[in-house]
Amino acid sequence: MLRRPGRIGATVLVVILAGGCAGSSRTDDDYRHKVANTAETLDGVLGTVQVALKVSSRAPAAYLSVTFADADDDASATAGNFDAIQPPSAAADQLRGRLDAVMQDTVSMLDDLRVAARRNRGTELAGLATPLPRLQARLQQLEGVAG
Amino acid sequence: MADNVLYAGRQLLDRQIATVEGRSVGKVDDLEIDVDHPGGPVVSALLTGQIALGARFFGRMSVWVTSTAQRLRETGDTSPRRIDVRLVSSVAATVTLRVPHGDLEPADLERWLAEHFIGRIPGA
Amino acid sequence: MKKLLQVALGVLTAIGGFVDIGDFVTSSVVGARFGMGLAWVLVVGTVGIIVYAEMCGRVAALTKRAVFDVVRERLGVRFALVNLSASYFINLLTLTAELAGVAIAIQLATSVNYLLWIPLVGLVLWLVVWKLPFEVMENSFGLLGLALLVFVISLWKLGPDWSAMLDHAVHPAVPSGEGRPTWWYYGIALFGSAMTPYEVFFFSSGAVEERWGRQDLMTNRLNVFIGFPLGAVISLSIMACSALVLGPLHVQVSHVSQVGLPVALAVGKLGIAAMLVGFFAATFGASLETLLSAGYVFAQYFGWPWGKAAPRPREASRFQTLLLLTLFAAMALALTTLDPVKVTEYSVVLSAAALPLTYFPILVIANDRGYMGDQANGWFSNTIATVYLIIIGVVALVTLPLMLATKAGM
Repeated sequence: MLRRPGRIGATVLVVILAGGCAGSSRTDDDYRHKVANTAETLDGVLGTVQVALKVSSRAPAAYLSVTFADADDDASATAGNFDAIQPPSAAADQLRGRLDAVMQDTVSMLDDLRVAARRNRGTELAGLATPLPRLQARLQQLEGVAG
Repeated sequence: MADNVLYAGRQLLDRQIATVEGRSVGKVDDLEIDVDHPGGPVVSALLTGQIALGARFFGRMSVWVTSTAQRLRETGDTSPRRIDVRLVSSVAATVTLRVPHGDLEPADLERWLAEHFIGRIPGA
Repeated sequence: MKKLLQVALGVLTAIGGFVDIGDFVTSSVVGARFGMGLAWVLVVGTVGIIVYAEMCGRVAALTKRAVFDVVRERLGVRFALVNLSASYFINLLTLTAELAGVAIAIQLATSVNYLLWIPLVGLVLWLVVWKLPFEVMENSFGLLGLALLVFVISLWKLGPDWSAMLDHAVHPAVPSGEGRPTWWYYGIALFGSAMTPYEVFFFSSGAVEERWGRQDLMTNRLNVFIGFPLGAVISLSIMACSALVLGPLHVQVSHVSQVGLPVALAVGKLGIAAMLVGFFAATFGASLETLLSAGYVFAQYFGWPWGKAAPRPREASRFQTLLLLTLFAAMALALTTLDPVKVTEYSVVLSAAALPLTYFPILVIANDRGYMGDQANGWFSNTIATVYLIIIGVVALVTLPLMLATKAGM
């Protein structure tokens, strides 16, 4: 009797921790929502990067390095979660292709930034981040697909 | 007269027991009642510690709490730790005894851990 | 004069000690996502912790008894055990988050992965609770925590449109694209971060330790009434900084590194240094408090010796063993690479859900004239305390369903 509340609490926690954000998708509509959400998350990661670039001369090197590494990890994890979802139709497949392309470009830019920040080459950061505005625009377009 | 009445269940049970110098002894986990007392039943001792506590739970929980505690006893005695009511000096938010810390037997688990674990760490 | 200094020190440590990883992370997450739309919850939560902590301090000063002592006596041995299990579990989760927070602070200063720092942080923590003069440590961490005031400076330097911000704060609305349940879920997280129960376990145990009496009631009130609101100003500033800098870029805060970006923008390197010192001190102080609280709740339930009642560690061997086991468990949990920010979020949300378990017995005993005499709750404090009992009750009922419905705020 006494242990039951604890057990329920623990079960709830495990379910939530294991659940994560991704999941299977049965309909096109559902899939479009997942595309939009993923694009939104990546857009947020790029937002972080945008601020980090702005403060690159005003923050300690170690701090910047961790910030870029965190952003890179977030983007890769988001991409990984999205790729685990099966597109339910041909139309969805095409959408997936579009998002995949942006995701790849984003992750590869973040990889470069991470390495540059790690090696303390602060002056190169701005150059490596030139694709940033275009990536943001492409992601914001994809955020709209859920309508 | 009413001022001298103590509701054992409400005003004794689950209170903290402390020595005369204010050190913790344990909780009043149960009470020993002397039913043969000539003037009617009286509280004859405070029972404290895991063995006494186990009796207040139900089912498997009760068995588990009591039996793990009994296993720590070095002697064959499996009765709860007992504090004679004559050692009590006052009953308020805390039940205060008239004896110092040194005069009381330590709790089983406390003694065991002090000897086998905590006592062996430098600085203990 | 000495008395005045002591009071000032108490207030300052209360300010610095108010913020821990829960406030830090939750304020920023909510600020970036909802702007100042949930700022009112922080106000409600702060008034709540003031009411709660003041009662606990008063009960401790007059009855010499800490929270869990009272809980067992008022709720009975069986129900109090359920209560003990829940409180201990949440405390452990909070300790895990704080421990990871300390390690992350060091990571942000050195760029060496936080997981590598956890064993070292654990060892130092244990040494502090084992031997070092604890009050000295507590006071110094409280004072160093004041470095987080850099968020107030940053906010001021960012030069926001104050009237628009105030307007947003007093006319809360669910932003478009966000569901109402998610909004409430984060509201609860914020409420839980302000009213974390370990703070109260610790506060009341400390009052018993320092043998507070009637003459300390004024100190108690000053600490709580001045220290906590000023501490909450730091939380509000963190929220506003995130709302201003991260919100417009749709940043979803999932790392401590993001929380400091507005400070870098407004103040620069020195600001980041101050923030890291403050964050380190706040999380280290909170780790000490949560670790000891885990021991206190058990010791007070079972009547074990704890604190000064046992001058040498071997005289409190059960208490010390429990501290060690708890610390190992928290270190192990942190080392599983569970996301520290997520652990923090769960810990504050579950804290909110568990509040009635300890709040109710304290309210009952604060009303007991047999114990409290002329210092029992008056009609005014009782009205507020009862309103909070209702709020806390409702929060507790809706938390788990909301957590499931929103998939923990996703």
